Amino acid sequence: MNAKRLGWLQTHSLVWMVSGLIIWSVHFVLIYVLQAVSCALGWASRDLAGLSFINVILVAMTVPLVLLLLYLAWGSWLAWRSSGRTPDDPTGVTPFMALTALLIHAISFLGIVWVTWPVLSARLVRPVLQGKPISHRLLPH
Amino acid sequence: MIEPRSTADRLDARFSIFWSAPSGLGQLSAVNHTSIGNRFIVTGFIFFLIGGLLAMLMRTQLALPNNDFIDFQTYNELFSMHGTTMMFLFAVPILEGFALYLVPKMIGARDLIFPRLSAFGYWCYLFGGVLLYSSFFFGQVPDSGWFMYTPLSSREFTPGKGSDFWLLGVTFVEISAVTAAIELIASILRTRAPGMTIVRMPLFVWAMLVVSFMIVFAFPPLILGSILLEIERAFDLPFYAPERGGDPLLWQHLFWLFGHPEVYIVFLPATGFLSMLIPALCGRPIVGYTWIVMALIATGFISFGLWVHHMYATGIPHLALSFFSAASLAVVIPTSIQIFAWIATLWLGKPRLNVPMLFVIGFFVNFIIGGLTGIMIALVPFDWQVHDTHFIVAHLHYVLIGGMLFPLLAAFYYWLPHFSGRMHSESIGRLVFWLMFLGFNLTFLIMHFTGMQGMPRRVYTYTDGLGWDWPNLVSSVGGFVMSAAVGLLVVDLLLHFFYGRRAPRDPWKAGSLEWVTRLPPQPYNFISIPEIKGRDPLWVQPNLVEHTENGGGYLADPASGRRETLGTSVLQARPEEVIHLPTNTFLPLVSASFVAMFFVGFLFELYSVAAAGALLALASGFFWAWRSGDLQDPGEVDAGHGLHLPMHHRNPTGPGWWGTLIALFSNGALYASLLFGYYFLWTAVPDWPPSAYVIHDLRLPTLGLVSLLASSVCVRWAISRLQHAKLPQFRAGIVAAVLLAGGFLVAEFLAMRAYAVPAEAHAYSALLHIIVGYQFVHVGVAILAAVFVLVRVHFGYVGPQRQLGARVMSLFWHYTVLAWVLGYTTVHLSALTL
Repeated sequence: MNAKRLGWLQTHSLVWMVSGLIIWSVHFVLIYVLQAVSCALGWASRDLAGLSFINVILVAMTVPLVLLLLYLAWGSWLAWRSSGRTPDDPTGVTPFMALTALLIHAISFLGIVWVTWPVLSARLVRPVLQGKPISHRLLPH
Repeated sequence: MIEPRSTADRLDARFSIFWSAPSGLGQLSAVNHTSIGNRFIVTGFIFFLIGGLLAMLMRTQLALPNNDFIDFQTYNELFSMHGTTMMFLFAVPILEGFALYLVPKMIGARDLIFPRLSAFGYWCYLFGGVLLYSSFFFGQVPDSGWFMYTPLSSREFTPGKGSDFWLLGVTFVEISAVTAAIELIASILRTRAPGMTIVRMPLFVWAMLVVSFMIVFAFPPLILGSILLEIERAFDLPFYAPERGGDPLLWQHLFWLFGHPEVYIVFLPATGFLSMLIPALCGRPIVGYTWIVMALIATGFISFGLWVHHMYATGIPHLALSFFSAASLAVVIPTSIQIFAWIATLWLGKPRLNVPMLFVIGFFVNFIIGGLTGIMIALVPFDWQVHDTHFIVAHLHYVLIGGMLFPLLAAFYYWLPHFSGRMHSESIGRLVFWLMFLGFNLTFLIMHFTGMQGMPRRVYTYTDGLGWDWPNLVSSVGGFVMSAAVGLLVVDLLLHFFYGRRAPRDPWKAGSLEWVTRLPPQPYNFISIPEIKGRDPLWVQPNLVEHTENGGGYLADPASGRRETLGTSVLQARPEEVIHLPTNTFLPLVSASFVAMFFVGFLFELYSVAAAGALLALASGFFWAWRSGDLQDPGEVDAGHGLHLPMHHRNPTGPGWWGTLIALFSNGALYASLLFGYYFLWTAVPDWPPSAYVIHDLRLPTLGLVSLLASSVCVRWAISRLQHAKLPQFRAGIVAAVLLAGGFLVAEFLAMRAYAVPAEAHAYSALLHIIVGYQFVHVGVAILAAVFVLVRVHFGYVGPQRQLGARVMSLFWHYTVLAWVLGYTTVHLSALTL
């Protein structure tokens, strides 16, 4: 991978800098919307190989986003490592932006894992709740 | 004997000729950011005093059990107006005022990039606030709480005009927030002094950049929610009425989609203050600059994922609640990063314990308490226990007063020499602080206990024997101590302007650029625009003041007689253009008056007056745009130091393009909220949409969509022809686009006319009409803009060398078409396929 560029998106841009949090936002919207849609369509009560269908969907949506996030974080890491103060950039814009991007990728990663945690743990507590998926048991009637 | 005048004084006299505003009534035409910022601050402070007065009336009522000082109706009005005033008329506008005042001075610009827009925003704020408060004269004061929950605020349960005053007044005020945000983003990104790269931006400017983006995306949901509720109240279109396919929860979603980011919109500027004050008062650079920037950006995003934590008790699926609980806890991380960076700066520096620093310490103590109770109520089970009790009231006041008012007062004392040219009184200031700190904690610390004892919020009285008596009395006493502090502050201010000691230049020995100006500053800020060589320019560039004053920087020659500032690149701040800024004009006042005519007409159901106001406002907008150009093209102008730059009209992505782009982001957020409403109701309401109400005939709508898509292609082609100086082809392309857009209007209009279901029948049919109506308005404006550009080309304002106007129009056009791709999918496809 080229450290400086992903398609039209360069490490040297404000959009790259906040890309981690854009992915966090996309994930947050999707996890909320898919959950709502699943409930509306009655998927909450369906099982898939012993797992709650809704939880499988939410995790399946999360994985590619996390991979994309890690890929971008790696790009930021490379950009940060290779950036030095050059005559063209005496004030260090490039290292600053790469480091900020990397920190933002890190906090976004934590944020995604943290927000998805209830989905994972809901599966773990399910046997305690009479074998029903938690998302189903607690739906408003 | 007359002293020979210095170079600085001679330049000052010449710049002042075209930078100052006329005196007397002519002051109303001022557009300069210093004047506008001051007006926001003064008006906001007055609303703060009024809001505080309402709070004192409530505390008087609650001081004793079974008190009959005021009745329940008045009490409802008081808490509704107190919250509304403090959030909409005080917190946001006064912070905007500080930003409008300070940002250009901190980034080395002469003025904001759209001075007339900020003046327009101020008038909207003032008129909206006056409109809201005029409800007292009509005896129709809003009484449904500051978040106006439906169905309480709906026509059935609030039949008078109270809710209408709120919805229209607040929406009017919100225009000012959005215009200020657009203004600040474009100014921060495009007008920083040369050398002020993105690494050297002051942290207050970073905070305002993040906050402005938040405003751009957070205010539209509430604006939309208010528009829908007002339409429901006025024309009986059911968006929130469950018996006709609506849902009251939709209002709560839209309100809190705004309301939670709002908390951070008032908190982040305060953190920006702290990141400026603490280094200056410690005499050392901030610790962890990069980390603070990261924290600001992270807070800006994550705070949009918290809104449902205001709705834990509404019966939302628990899995969804857990996402919001998690995000609510996650937002603590960036906030803590900032707090640790400030503590480290204090630790490593030599802090001076003066009045601003006292308020900083007050912030630390109070905000951390508010933050900790915030973590408690981010947890769903705990929140259920204290939901709608005084515990919540205590928490939110710790966050807002601790997190916003204390930093604001710190900032106020710190920048007071800037506003008045005088130093504050250390002794009175200390007294103000201690009264405020003690009064505040006396009022609200014990209120946690009152809430835990079960006292609900928003009750006008209580019986004795519940254990609520003495904590309420303590809170009331504390409240009066706090108002004594505010009273003393007012006295201090009045004395200050007469007896304050004259401030020297840079009285705090701070490093940031706003202290380069004279105190109080001249309207142009800087006689010349200096080259910036560090994060704290005054600390690293000796003689920066003399250098700037004596014309050693850029644009030091007043000969052009134009208001000018430098346009620079986004990241590296390299000079790119000279921006010609508009001068004093009554246009913002006139435009805002037309908008006021619309709102007042709507309020009193004089719809012809409202329509006239809307049309006049639109016309004044086009007149405004007409006045923005410049027939003369000086080519390149000399910016000093051998730098020759084009005027901004030559830049196809000049200031106007940036402003339009950001405004379209905001507009897009409004539209997204509308589509959210549609899909939310689809998931939340059974049998939605009712199959009998669905449009099945796709022929005309599809013809309209194709026509609109083709118009976008025409506009794109026309712009490329303009670049090649092929003016006849450009005209032909634009005319074709206008005709195609007209084709869309006819096709979609016929399709909707064939749709026999009235908008009042059901939330579904109501939303279809609103989505199509949104599109019609946009296509109409796009057509007018295209015709406007054709006329401008004819008169020579727009041409191959100066494409800005055409580019702005094309941006709007493509947005409109994109919106209909989503609109068509929603209105015509979703119900057939899903």
